[in-house]
Amino acid sequence: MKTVVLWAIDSDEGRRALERSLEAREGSARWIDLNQVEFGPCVGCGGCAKTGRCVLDDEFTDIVAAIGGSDRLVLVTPIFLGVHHPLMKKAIDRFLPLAGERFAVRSGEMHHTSRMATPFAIVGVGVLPEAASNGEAETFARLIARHAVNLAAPSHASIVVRRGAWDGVAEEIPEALDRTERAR
Amino acid sequence: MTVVLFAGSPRARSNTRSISADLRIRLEAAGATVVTLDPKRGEEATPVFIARSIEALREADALVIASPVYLDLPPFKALSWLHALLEEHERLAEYGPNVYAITHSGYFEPVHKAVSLRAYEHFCDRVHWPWRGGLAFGGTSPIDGRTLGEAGPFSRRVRPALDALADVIAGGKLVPRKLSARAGRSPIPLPRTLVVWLMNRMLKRQ
Repeated sequence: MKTVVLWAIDSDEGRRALERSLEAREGSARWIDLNQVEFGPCVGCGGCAKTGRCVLDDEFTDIVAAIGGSDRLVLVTPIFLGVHHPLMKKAIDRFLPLAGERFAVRSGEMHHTSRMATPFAIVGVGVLPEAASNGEAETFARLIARHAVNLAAPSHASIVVRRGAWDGVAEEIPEALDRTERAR
Repeated sequence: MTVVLFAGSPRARSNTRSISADLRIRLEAAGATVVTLDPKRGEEATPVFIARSIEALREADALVIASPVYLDLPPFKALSWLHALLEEHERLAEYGPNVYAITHSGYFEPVHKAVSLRAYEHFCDRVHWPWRGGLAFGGTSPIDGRTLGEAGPFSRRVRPALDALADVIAGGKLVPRKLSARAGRSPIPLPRTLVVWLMNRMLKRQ
């Protein structure tokens, strides 16, 4: 199972717990630390709709291709206003080339078709800051569920971790990975 | 009253800008002074732009955050601005403009925009500003950066909703549910599968 991890946390907190869970299953995963990648934000030009390739020719263009060919995508991000940290959103905006030009009805909603032959499952891991307001954890779970519909994911799971409390979710990580494996 | 209008699209020909410009006209007609914050790409989180934003917000009675929705959320540009603003939350907590939002995308269903509106609501919780609600327009792609007048029938759901929203903002009121529901209706009153079939047919011809 090809897994890609997008990491948007500015420390290694929790990294070992996630690595251990992934290693136990599939040996390794492609780990992309977004803090270390030079890439530009999506300019919303729509150029990728026709070609499936971003007009920004930078490091992230190949990363998106690798994500498109993966079986599972793990998004690890600080939760900001119940959703992704801007750094993670900068990466996700660049996923637009994964969508086809044509439209389809999926889950009773209008969507673009997917260019991926077998779309990836999604696991969202959100780190909740101390200052988070009520309901941000629920919003994050809802966001991951929405991504699953939008990206035609066969399955999804979300985990919310309180900052500095990774030990408390040590069991949730393998469970989430199992859930997304079984559905494939 | 003073209204700060933030336009959070990274596009050059931006529908967010079209919608914001139209709302601005309507707010000015209602007697408001409107300050538009429309940062260039990459400028939105710079110290200079954030200082300018805070200065404008200090005097504001209302803030309107307008943005498209890319993959279930406002684009990086809008989130990045909010993130940089929140770094100054202690200063922001001294002010308290009413906050409204306008989200839009090519997809018709309001559910595509729901998480974005919720994120804006969480922003208000964090800075203790009153959240007054938002509108979620679908099917806005054909506006294609034109004025709403030029876009003609493609903006027929948007224009009356903005008219009503300007009154709501001027009165400092909550966005009525009826207005949200009206704004969220499909601009093409046909079954979804038929609309998708027609759109794919048009793409094939192109």
